Amino acid sequence: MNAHSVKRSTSDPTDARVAASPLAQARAARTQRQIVFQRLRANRLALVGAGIVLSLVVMAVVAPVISPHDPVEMVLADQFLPPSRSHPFGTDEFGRDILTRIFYGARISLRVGVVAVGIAGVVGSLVGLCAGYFGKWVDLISQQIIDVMLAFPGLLLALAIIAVLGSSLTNVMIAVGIGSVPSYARLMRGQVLSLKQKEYVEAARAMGAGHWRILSRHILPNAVSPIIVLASLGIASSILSAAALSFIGLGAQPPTPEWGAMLAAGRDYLRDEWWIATFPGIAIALTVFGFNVLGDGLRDALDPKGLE
Amino acid sequence: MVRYIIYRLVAAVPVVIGVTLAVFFMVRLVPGDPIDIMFANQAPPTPEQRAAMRRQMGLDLPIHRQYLKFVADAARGDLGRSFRTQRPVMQEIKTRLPNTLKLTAASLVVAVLIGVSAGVAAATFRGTWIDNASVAVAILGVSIPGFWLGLMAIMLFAVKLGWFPVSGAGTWRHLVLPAFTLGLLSSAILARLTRASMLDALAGDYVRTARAKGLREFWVVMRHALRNALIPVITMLGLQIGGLLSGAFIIESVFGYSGVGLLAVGALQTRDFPLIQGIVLLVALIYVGVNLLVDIIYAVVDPRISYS
Repeated sequence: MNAHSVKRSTSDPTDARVAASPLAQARAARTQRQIVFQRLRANRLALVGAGIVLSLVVMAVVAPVISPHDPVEMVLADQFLPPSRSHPFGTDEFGRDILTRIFYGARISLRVGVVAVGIAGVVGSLVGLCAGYFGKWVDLISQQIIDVMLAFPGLLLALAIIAVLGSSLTNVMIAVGIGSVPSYARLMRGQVLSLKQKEYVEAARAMGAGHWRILSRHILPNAVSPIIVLASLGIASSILSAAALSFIGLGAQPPTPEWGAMLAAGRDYLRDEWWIATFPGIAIALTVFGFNVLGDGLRDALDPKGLE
Repeated sequence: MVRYIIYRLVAAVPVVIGVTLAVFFMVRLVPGDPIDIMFANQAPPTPEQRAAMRRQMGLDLPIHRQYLKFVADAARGDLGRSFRTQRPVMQEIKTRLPNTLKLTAASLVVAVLIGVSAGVAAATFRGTWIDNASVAVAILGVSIPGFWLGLMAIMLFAVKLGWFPVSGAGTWRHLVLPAFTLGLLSSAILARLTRASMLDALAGDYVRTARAKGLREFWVVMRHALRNALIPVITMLGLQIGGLLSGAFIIESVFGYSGVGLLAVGALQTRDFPLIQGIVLLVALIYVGVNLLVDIIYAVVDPRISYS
């Protein structure tokens, strides 16, 4: 029995009898959490990832405080200034400071990542939870829908959704989120299929617990770890997909300081004003790298091997 | 074996039906009358024009008859006419598809050559700088946005050095930069998978036996370990082709490479629905076909797979 089920079952009167020794198991749960943190701390690459993600969050929060420039106001006298002390990343074709726009872009990227993953995580987990738990026709129908969604490779599903909804940053978040639903649904379904056979679930059922109680108190808390790992990696891929869609003009529209859209604007000035396209790209790559290595680190740290 | 192939073919039927349903309803879900959408950029149609158009598009039929007509027309290769150019959608796609297939095939070759070699080298020289470098490059590879890498490649190899054309399609020189950009990104995933798979294979008893026989290390790696390690890599290739196909959509617009991807992006920007519908349907069906083929090849190549 793992950490979550122990914690939940001790707070639930119907389950108190199921847990043999709550105190001993609560201690084991604490030790497991410590092991996870120790593993994460020992993984230097994951720490670098955590550092990047943290810096990104700080950058997004304090953008208006640390930047002396406006992200959208045009200053035509400052057009195409190369990197200098007053504009460390130079200025774009409208004289806007690129570093400032990158700071503000962090807000957009984070929001896109979190919202898209939120949509995918919630919808996918619900579908997987119902499919795995109720089985039969619920499973059959949801698996057929997931199979059809998977027939649209990569960004194609997101592109089809944007075709229906129209181009905008909000629609990109929805499209990227829905496009990622199958991964979460598949993962959650697999988790539920194995968890619903566990003794503590059978015991809860034998004691008369209803479907809602079993799902919310016993299955969901135990199935959530791999979903967290997928979500942290999913933020990276969502940011990348959303930037790609903005790059081809289907996402954020000018003058929004979105990194993908900034890159698209810079493509016309590659010959002489290299900085316009270079720095937003580095910002995307660093952000995605940060979430990727943090996600990898989380996956290794939460690996059940050696946790028991 | 024949039973397995028949099983896989039958299992693909609901997916194909699902794909046609999804694509059919995609346009029906767009808010507004399809006729108004068609005339969005032109003078509003007269009532006679509207009625004629409705009949021509089959919009006067009940919804299930419309769907059956859509499938029957699509099966005959009739995907309607582009709103923008008034040319048959199939003809538009046919002129661009060879370029996209060429790009996908060339980038697949790049991905396999670089990814598999880097993975084999990393596993063979485990723990050395070669291993560390290939792992680092693989992590960076999945974090770098393809469209940015493409822009940087244009800046360096086309604008500064003048080795390749900046944009366009037609000759092999037009193909080099997009194929490398797309292939390099996929090679990162293949390198990680090949490394893990090679490490497993190198630990196998048959490798120890081959070494004990006094076989040279090069042949041990190439003949004994690599052949077994490639099996999961083949499966991944099926998925990679999907990634490359949809990745081509973005990369083609970076390089102005005249393929289906560039056509799709143009269609999305102008909301040319018949064209979007046709491209989405065709790419999804190609992807389903490729995966079916990979599954069958996989079963033929690996005798350990059960056909039941």
